[in-house]
Amino acid sequence: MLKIENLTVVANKKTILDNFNLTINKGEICALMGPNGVGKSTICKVLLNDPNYQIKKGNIYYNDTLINKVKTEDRAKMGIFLLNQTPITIPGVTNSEMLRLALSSKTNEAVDILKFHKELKSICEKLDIPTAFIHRNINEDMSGGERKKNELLHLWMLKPNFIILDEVDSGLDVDSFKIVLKSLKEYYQKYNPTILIITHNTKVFKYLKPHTINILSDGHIIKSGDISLAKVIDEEGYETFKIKGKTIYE
Amino acid sequence: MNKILIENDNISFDKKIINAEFKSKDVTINIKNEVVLNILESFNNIQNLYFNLDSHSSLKLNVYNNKADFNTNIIINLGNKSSFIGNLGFIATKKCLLNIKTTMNGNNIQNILKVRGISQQEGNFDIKVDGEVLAHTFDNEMTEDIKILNLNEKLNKVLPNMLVSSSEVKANHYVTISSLNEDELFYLKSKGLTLQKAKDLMTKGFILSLYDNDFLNNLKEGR
Repeated sequence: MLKIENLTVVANKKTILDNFNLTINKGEICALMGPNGVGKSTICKVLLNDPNYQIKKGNIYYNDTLINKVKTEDRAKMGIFLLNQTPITIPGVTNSEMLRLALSSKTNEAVDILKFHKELKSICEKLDIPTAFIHRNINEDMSGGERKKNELLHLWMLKPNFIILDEVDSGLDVDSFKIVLKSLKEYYQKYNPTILIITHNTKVFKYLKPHTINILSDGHIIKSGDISLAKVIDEEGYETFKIKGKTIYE
Repeated sequence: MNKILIENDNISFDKKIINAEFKSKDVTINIKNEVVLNILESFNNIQNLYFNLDSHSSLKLNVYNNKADFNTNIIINLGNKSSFIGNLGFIATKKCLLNIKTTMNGNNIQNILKVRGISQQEGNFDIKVDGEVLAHTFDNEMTEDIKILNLNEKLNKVLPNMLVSSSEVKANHYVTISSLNEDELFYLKSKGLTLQKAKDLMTKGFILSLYDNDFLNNLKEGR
């Protein structure tokens, strides 16, 4: 579903990704891990064509279509969804207004308002968030956990088929963590999307077991493996993949 | 929406909610009780608007003008334990000059002024606010919160002044003149909104977030 070939990305004149390669098949869960500041979140931004990041070299294919020059909103309509690490506030714009416009943009049809509101309420109940969120300004006066749940509200309404989870556990207390991850697991079981998980926290894998785990360093993947890699990372850290200052490529 | 036509130069209000249409250019309004005063496009007709708030009275002034083209002075005198909340929203189609002077003539007065302006096409703003707190007064609260969203290349000017002669007052002022936030635009586009729809939504939200539901319902009825 997603194929990234030899991607080099620059931001503020600094190279962040360097000959980065990654392939994720349809319906797979792929985890990307690595120390702070190696460029994990950059991948999230580049996949949605954030203008602060420039592709210097390489290609991104989504469902066999080259998307390097595809606009952000068109990538979203293709089914790519980013669950933000720290979702921002949009003053004066309600969840309801935004979602209604996003859905009608996707289908090129007017939204059935009754059906739309019924679905919104049902998802709020499922996520244990107040239905008042529907008409609240996006992420305004919401705690970290509430913002993540608000992103989940968007996810369930927009029904993407490729989900990028950027540090999904960030800012969540124990209870909110469980609710959020259970909801993602439920979505995965229902719709079988492709998921890219960016995380430091291997506890996420209890809910979303990855088919592959990749470790990012020096702007590209230095180690790939299955779920057993999570235990090595937990016990030995990322340094175990380096010998005397050199990175191991296996 | 039921409206009251303002054709006299000097009137008193003690009613709860008044939707006013101004024909007179110079008007003095005496506020006796708790009053909510709503003004739409007829704000363009006003040159000088004076408010005198009696002791213990309150005025909530909601102004929404999406074809703003005015040169207006607003002078507000606030008596003891009175309250003024001003929510003024404008979309400028031409140059708009606004001078607001508030004077707190007593104690325990609340004076909160919020202005939101969008400059687009040929419009821009030149706004001056003077909030005065007199000497030997206490427990007064004053806020000047003015934001301009610049959608064209025109120059906007905002001058917020606070003339405080008392040592017992809470006074705040906030002024920003900015264009649409790029991170917010990116966030909305990442959900599937086109750039234009994202801009329209943010622009509308910039002004309408100023008002409570009662006034917003009023606006919907008036359309």
